[in-house]
Amino acid sequence: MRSGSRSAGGVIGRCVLLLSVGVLCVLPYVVLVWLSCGSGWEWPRLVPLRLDGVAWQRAFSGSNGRAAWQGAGLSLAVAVCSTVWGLLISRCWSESGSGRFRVLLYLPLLTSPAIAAGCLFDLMARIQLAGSWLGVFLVQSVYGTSFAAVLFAGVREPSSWRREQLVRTLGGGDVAVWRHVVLPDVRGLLPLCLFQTALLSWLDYGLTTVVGGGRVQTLTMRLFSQIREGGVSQAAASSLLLTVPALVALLLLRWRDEGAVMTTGGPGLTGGLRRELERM
Amino acid sequence: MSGVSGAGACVLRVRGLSIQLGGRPILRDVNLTLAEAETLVVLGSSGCGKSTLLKCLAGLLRPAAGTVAVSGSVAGPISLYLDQEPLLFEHLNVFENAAFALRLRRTAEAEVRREVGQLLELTGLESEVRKSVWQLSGGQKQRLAFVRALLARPRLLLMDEPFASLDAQTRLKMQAIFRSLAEQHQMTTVFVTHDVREALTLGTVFGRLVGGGYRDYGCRAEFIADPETGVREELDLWDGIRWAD
Repeated sequence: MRSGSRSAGGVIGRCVLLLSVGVLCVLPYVVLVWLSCGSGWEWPRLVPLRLDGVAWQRAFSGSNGRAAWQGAGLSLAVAVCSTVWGLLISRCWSESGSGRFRVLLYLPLLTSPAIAAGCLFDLMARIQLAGSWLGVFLVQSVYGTSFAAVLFAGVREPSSWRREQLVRTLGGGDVAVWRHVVLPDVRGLLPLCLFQTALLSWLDYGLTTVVGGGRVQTLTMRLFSQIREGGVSQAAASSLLLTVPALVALLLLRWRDEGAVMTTGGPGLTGGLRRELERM
Repeated sequence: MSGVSGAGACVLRVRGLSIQLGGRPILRDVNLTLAEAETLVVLGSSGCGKSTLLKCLAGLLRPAAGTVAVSGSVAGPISLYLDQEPLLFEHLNVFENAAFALRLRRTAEAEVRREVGQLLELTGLESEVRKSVWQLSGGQKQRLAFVRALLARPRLLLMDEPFASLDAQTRLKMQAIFRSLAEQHQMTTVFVTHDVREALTLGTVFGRLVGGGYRDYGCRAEFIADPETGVREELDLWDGIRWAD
């Protein structure tokens, strides 16, 4: 009887805990949706005067819409370039085996991007990169590339080198090595790297503010402007819009992994992680 | 004496080979020759330098002294090194793994299908052609790696205890497959092992690594008769077990 009541108590406790965590995670989004759908919300009212879609209409049009598209384009460019450069650099790192090279790769990750950009602003202004999309792209790419290189370098195994030797012994050149060893090794990580580096750019505020000098307008920059101006509904809509690419990418990654499980029976990236967690 | 029993052309000639690792001498003054279609089995205990010798023959390690010469014209690689790790390509299915070297040489599709199909059938993998590599057992993976190596047509095949990680039954099957295919395709092979029975089963010429040096044997009888190989002892032991049963 005692063990039965303890287990029932444990189940209830677990449910309460999960519910609390769920509510805490979901609550901010619920509030944001509520905020974004209202207008004429006067202090100290708890509910807005009217529920309409004015903030959402503005979110997709005018300067806000333009900033969103520009930010998306910048994120895509940073993601692709960082991933490609990171992959190339990680190979150079692996081939050199140099510890000093490794330190160089980690350097950008040790510094705050905004502070680094602030220190370099004067130089960037002299070479006319400050206040330009190119300048923001280059500086964001430095951090993205560093992240990508460290990520891909961690995938290398001793068997990777042996398979490369095998491909060359069997008559393959560089193209065959990339096609049959390098790219298959990192295939699972490519979407993840693209996603993370894109997010790095999409959500960045500090770097874009310092290097962009106010001329580079992304959705994140517009969000902070709206907060400063007191446009609560508009800011809420922009915040939710900021989360959309991340949500879409997560869903795509999940569907891809589930598809991999169904067609091949092998684990996807999240499936493999799930198995490890279950084992623990 | 040299490791040449048959009348075939000399494929491998090693003269005065010395190997050091980290400044420490591993092998000294190794001399051996190997004729075409022969299987040289090199016996030695763990840590005596068998893998080191093989890697040097494969060009994966640079010797401190001496020369390694592999002669003859080749369609494929000069030498190919195989060990316990099959090193299959997980993004390719069984057929494409087997056909890998042929694809790199841009062999005609009909010929690829014929050659790969033949060898997969001989090794009992014909029903697995469309499967992914991770769906195969350890023995199947080793067989596939061996098929891929054969289709690569190397001048010299270097096998570093490739069956050591397999269970006894699978190992016996693999030994039979290797012997049959090596004869059929006239493969020239250097096979290192510490297993005496495997050495006797697979070898046509024999050698032994001991104390950093290499000793070769003129024939199988000489190899068995040498008390230092432990062959006679092991054969007597198995005879005793058999008679006891």
